[in-house]
Amino acid sequence: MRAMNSHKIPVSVRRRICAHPAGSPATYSLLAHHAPTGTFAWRQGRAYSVQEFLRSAWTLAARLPEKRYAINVCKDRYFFAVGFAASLIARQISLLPTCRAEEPLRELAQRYPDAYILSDHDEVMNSMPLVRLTEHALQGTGSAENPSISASRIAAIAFTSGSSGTPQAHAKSWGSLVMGARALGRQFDLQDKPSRTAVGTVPAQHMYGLETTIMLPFQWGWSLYAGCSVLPADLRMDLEHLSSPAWLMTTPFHLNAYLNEQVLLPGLESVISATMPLARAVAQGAEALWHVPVHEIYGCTEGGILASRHTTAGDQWTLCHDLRIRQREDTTWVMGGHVGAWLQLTDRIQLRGRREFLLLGPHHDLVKIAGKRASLTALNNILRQVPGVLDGIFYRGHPERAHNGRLCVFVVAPGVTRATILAHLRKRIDPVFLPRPLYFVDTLPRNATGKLPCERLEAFIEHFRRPGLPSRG
Amino acid sequence: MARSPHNPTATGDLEEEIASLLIETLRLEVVATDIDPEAALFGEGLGLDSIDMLEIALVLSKRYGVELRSENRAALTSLRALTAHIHEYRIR
Repeated sequence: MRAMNSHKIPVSVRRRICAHPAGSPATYSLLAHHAPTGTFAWRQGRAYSVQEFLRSAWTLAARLPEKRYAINVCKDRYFFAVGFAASLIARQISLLPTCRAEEPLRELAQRYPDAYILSDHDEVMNSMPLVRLTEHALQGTGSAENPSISASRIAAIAFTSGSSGTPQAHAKSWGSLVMGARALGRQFDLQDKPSRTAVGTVPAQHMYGLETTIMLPFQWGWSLYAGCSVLPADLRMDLEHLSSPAWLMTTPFHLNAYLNEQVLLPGLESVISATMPLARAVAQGAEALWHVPVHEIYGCTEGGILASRHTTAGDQWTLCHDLRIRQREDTTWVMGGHVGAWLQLTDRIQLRGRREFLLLGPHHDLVKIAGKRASLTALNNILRQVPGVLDGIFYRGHPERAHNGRLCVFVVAPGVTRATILAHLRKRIDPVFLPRPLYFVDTLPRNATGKLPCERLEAFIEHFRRPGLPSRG
Repeated sequence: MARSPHNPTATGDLEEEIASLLIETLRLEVVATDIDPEAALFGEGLGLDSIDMLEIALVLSKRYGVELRSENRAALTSLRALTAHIHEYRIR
């Protein structure tokens, strides 16, 4: 491990709690909406008012099981928001799994035994207590009070994949979430934009989705759009029903797809992209197609939003106002505001000014696909645990050659079928990391010390790139 | 319903055509006959995800003029269901 001046940069990236900084307000209101009759959400062509939402949240809070944790797997963003608010009111902590695969959910349940599942769909494990949200279940005549919530209370726990394969928990205090939403708004001058609708193509359980499609509407008095479909026909029809300009919170993958097909989206005012850097040509294409600015957010699950840029204006990122940045060799930390104590970043960064920097890409072990991230070491460990697999490696190809940045796998597994390997992986990793394709090989080009040097691996893999080579399975 | 004379008329041929389209679009490492037409496309079975869903929707719209919506979820359960849906609503 690199020697580090630890007294200057006290940081624990393994598991950190975004505590609320001293000297800040002790409580924050759930919502920043002024008018109780104002629109809080758009769902299936109908407007839900602020008081309707609050009534539903209080009604649900009163009938939640007496548990410490609520695993919120709701897909519909309105149901997610009601569940999240009800959990806050009931002093429960929302667990936000980004992966709904069987094994990770089971592990989550084992790790947090005092939990139940809050869901709006039926694709969930039946071995845990379940609160099923339906429109009917949320009808209530109770309080429509906008609750005040202690800033230091843990509101949610988000997860990232750790290098061991066990997800790392990142606890978020209510204060840090509110401050993050405020920082986000300041970064995009939202003081002048009081009523807008946040439309998202990312799940609310993802930190970027939580910040932009839940916390931003909560804290800037915006409406949220409940839909979770990313299909152009759905988006187009829903956008036509909105009465306020829409901000689309999306990813480079979705933008690329919409742009390729020249999907027209009416009523957009702005586009925000995150999860991986957006190519400038795609940003230019989107700006030309929709006549709206395209901005990007740089952030991470641990810290939330850290910086932003207007992609077509330049490559440089501008750090959020309240944050500070520091670098030692090729490692960078940020601190302050909603981030709290020094946080080590997983990307390599080149500082260009006090608040400006260029992003050089992730450190070696990290892969990011469609907003999910995983450690190659962890993926390789899981692969090598498949019965009959003697050796194997996940490989991240060149971005221009890989299909949507997907990974491929080279595996030494005589007598084992493709289906067996895929079935094993599917239970343990998010589908975005499943290999496309999977190659069976006789051996991997390991050197005398058992390592796989980059150049040897590249040369070996080049062989498989030639068209017409069959792969067994 | 307008249909070019070159297009397959039997659902069996269409099923194979759509299977090939899925494989080509998603760079799946299987051949068309490997796909069980009754198996789930998402989750188990082929193990596709939401990224694939958007790609499938876009390519089907381009090829057959059929725009998938989330209310057509049933059409995405298997290759056979998808074929039936395309067969019914295709405009090219």
